[in-house]
Amino acid sequence: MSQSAQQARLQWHCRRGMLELDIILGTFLKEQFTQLSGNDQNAFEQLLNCQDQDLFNWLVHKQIPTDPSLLPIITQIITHATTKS
Amino acid sequence: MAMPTYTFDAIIVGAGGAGMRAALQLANTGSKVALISKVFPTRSHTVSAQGGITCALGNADPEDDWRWHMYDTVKGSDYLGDQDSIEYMCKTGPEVVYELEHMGLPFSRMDNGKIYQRPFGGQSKNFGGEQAARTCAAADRTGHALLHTLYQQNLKAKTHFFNEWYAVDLVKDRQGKGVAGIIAISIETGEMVFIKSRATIFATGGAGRIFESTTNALINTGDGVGMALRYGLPMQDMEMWQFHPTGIAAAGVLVTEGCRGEGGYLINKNGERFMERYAPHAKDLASRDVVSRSIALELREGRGFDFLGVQCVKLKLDHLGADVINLRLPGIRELAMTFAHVDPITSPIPVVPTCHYMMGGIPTNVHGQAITVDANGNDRIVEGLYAVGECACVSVHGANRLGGNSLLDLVVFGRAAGIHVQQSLEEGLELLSASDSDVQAAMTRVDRWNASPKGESVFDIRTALQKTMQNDFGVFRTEKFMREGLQKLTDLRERLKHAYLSDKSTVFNTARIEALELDNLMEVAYVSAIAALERKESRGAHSREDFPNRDDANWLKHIIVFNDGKTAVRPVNMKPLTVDPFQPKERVY
Repeated sequence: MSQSAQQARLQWHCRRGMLELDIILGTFLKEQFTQLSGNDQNAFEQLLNCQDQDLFNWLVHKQIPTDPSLLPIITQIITHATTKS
Repeated sequence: MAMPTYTFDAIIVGAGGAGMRAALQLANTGSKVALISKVFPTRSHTVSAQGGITCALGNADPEDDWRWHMYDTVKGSDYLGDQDSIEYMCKTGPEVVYELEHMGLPFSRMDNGKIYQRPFGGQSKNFGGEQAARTCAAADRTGHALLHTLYQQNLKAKTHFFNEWYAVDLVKDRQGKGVAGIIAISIETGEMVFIKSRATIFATGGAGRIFESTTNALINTGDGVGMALRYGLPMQDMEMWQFHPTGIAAAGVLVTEGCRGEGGYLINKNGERFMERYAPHAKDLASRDVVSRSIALELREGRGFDFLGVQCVKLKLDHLGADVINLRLPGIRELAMTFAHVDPITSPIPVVPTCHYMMGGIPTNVHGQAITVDANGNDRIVEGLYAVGECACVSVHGANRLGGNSLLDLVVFGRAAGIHVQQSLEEGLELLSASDSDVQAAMTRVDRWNASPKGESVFDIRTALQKTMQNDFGVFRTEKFMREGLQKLTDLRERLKHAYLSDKSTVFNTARIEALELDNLMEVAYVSAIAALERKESRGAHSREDFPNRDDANWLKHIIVFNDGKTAVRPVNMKPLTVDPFQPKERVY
């Protein structure tokens, strides 16, 4: 899959059942994804496989995920969402 | 060109609560069922219904009665709901909820082990008496729990999932008897297929994306409504859209009444606390519709702020001080910082009336069978086509939906449609055949976009569409502005026919999907506008400045609109089977 096709696939996978997630994930993908390290890009993809309700609790309610490996990417997304000018 | 073809007993479009409940009913009885979903099923918008599912189990109050729930729902609907449908929903509710419990839905419990029930607005005991507690929940994740339970059950029942496939249009049969199937496109590969089926069930959800400000996720583009309209079927009650007064401008995320309860208030661009003018006593704590219309009037009068190109008012909290905000409203502060990038400790939050729910949709009977109206004004059942959930108008919500009734609607009527399709299959429901030209007709709009040489962008037309709906058909409705709005929509609809898809690639071409979605949004917006102009009264969510009162003598009826703009009416059902009808009364709470 080409890089643009991969980006398009991720864009579709940022379409969620909750508006809050559409906004937070979609904005992060658009504005930050290409600047991430390979590891962080993989972590973002892994995050997209999680459940909407969990993503909502982590990204909107700032709860801590049970899988600690997800925490760094979640922190980056929250930071980006709340400090954007 | 030989297009790949599949054949099923039933195909269901949309894998939210209603679609998956219908699929399960059919798959469990041995039918060959396909479920098409443009996103992975558990990412359907049902997950946003966190609050719960209402029905009279009688756990919180042993005296509770489904007839009281029925009364509340009829009254909540401002008497536009069909009483036979509401009766069926409220009466069947407990049975359907216990089925979900047996499937493993993890309901919250009372100490005695029974399903816990919480009070919600609009719930009463004894036909309008004291507050009832009737809403069952799985903590604050009821929608999520419902989707998961149904998804697991469907996997077990061998439902065939077409995940990340997009339904394009219905295919007519060659004799014009009914629906032969559907054309669908794989989002991953761009492949197009013809899925033949004896029965087609639409469960495609709402279409809040027609408005500039909506709580609806991006996927809520009214795909089933668009397909049904292009097929030649009418929509019902499309003027009825539920709004919340305060969504964050340019985002749509709700800020709850709690803020105003803690002493927050709304200001216009002059810094004026304008609710004092509209509701001198209740002020900012006036009812939702009053607050919504007051905001809309301020914007109409040019007293709004511009926030990222969106006209809005602001919710002021800074006078409460950092301590109160951090102690009592920490969640709101987080939301404001995330979705408006303002800190309410120092800056007011931009807010605007925000669309939440579509009460109208494809008219159906209690079995979910789609209904059209013939030239003589008589109901006609559309052979082989069903609609359930938010895309349908059965109609249980009438002019206004009560909290906790949407999840109930999904599972009760998803199940009912499944049962009816199953019976029809047993009675020999035919597989109708389509000619090549019928199939080709259903691919017209994909071909159109794929061949588009130049023109306006999807983004530009969609933005203009959403602004028009927000300004002229939102919570402030009056003849003059709606006429102007309808003209704008008519122009936009023409411009859309010449719009341009620049990306013609095949793999995950999300731009193509958004173009196809815009076709549907346009159809939804158009019939909503016609219906809003047609209804010359105020009822439930439809509130007109020029006709401020409910007018039962002339308008206690459903409005039907076809995609050519023709309208008709259908009577509201006032004949429940087992109880006396509830006669319209003034709706006071």
